[in-house]
Amino acid sequence: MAIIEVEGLRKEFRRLRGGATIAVAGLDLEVPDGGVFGFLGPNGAGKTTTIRCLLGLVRPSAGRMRVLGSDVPGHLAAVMPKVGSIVEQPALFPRFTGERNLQILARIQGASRADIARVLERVGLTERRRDPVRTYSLGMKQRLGIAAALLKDPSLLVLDEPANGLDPAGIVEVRELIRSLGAEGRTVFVSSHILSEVQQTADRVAILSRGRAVRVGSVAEVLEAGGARGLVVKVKVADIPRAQAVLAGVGIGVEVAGDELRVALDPTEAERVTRSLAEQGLYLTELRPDTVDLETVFLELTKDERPGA
Amino acid sequence: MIGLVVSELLRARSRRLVVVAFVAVAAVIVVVTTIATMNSVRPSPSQLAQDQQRYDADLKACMGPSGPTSPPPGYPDVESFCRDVVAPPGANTGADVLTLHGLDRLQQGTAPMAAMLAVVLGATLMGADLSTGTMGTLLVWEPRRVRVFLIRAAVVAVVVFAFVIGVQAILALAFRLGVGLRGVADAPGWLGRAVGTTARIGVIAVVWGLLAYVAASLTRTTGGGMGVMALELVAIEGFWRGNQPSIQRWTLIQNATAFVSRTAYTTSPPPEMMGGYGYLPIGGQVGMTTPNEALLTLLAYVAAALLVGLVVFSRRDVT
Repeated sequence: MAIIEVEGLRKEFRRLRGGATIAVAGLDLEVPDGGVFGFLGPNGAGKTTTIRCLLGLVRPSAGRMRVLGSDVPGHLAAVMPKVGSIVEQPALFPRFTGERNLQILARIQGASRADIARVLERVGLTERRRDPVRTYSLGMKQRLGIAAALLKDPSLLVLDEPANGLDPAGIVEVRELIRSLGAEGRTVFVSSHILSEVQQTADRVAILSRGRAVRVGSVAEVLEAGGARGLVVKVKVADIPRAQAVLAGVGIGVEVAGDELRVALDPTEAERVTRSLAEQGLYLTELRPDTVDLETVFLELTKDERPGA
Repeated sequence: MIGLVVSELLRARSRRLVVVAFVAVAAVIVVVTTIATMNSVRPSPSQLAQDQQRYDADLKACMGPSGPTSPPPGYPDVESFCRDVVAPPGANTGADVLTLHGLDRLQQGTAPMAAMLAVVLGATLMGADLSTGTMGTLLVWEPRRVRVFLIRAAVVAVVVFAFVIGVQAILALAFRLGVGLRGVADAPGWLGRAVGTTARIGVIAVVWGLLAYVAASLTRTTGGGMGVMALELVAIEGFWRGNQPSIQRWTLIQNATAFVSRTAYTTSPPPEMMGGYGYLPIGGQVGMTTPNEALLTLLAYVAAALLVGLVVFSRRDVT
């Protein structure tokens, strides 16, 4: 079952002087139940607007959305108690303690003090719970925002750029948290433009460009579609043409890519490459899988959106 | 829904401005009352006796042929009206010195300041949340916007009213202490009058606070909300009224003044009735707007403003 379904979502922001800015241009998306779903796109691709539409903060111009099986925004009141979220930066009261900030939100849905203690423990803020939020680091504020989202014990967590502005230690903290939340059966819908983070945490991803999803699937599927296959073989000797001829001679498909040879071969058969070249006195300095990463795919798919691309 | 109300009250308390403004106003009251007490001179017994005679004579005149022939609206009889409008004993002792006396009138004089503070409070309780993004956080917890808007409006009303009651209580306490030391005690029944005036000022403050609340929700900032109110007061209630006195009947200031002072006013008073003043005592004549009518006018404004604010708030994007 899809926990989020979006069909033909469109959002235009009208300008005062006429015309409109199209933030989301007919987005179709399905997010399955459970696990971590990465929602990728460059700045201005429409990620935050899509999230705001899903949460009822922004009224879509057209399209249909379903969250947890219910139409939104029509049934938001029934849906939102099961949805935890952070949109951009968590908006907190800086003069209040972390605990007090959670109490204000907890009152709305009747969450107990035990619930507050539980989520603070979960995000590792128990010891700092009585400190004013203004003394928190950016990472701690982000974790407090996640704690607020967890207060609802949600089936669906929507996190918009949760690693934004964090230092490396903060990024690792948030990554571990997201992983553990996804592993315990919740659906975590996380938007980001920090692709390495998404690659390490997400089970499935959607890549957004100009308000449309240009690729949706498991991380492996998206990588494969981006050209991740075979081996890249580097030859020590300067004689790349000879190495190419040797490999072609034993029936291995090969092409020259700069100072490398790109070999179309399953990584489990790498032994054939090393043996064939060694028998002809050509020794490798490097043999590595052709690991096209999410960043490469992302840049390729969104190149039209970047200036100078 | 109770949870949302409690949460909204906690949010309101989180606004530093609310606490700072209260402490600042309380401090100003204490300082000013202390200075006034130090400079106050208590009249001699003979001066007080003389003023008592003046009061008795004025009261008699008011209840005689020169006063109203029938009880003005809102008064059970002519006497209660006269006791309300004749300057009480101790108010005119003849000495050209400061004498602490007349809490009721002093309170009425603070009504404009209470209204200004209410505008600031009403505007900040909506504008700050919209400009800092905490409104978005609230709406993902409680997406029923009508409920959020109305409950917050109720919280604004409660906070503003409590603020005014607190400030007026401090004022009354400080004033009574000053009177006890160097002033002239008010006539019996002062407490009831003070409570009534405080309540009326509180109501007016709530009206202004709610109008600022709606203005801030439309402009999405505290400054915008206060700006709209300032524009209304300067452009409409100032310049426009100056050019077109007939709109006086509909201005906020005029209606608020009539309600707080319990003094009716006329929309187009004949010059001979005015005697150089803009207000006539209740029981005056032409085109009169009574305090109750003034209150109804103000409440109609608030209802209309809340309706407009509600429609816009429930449909607008929160970005």
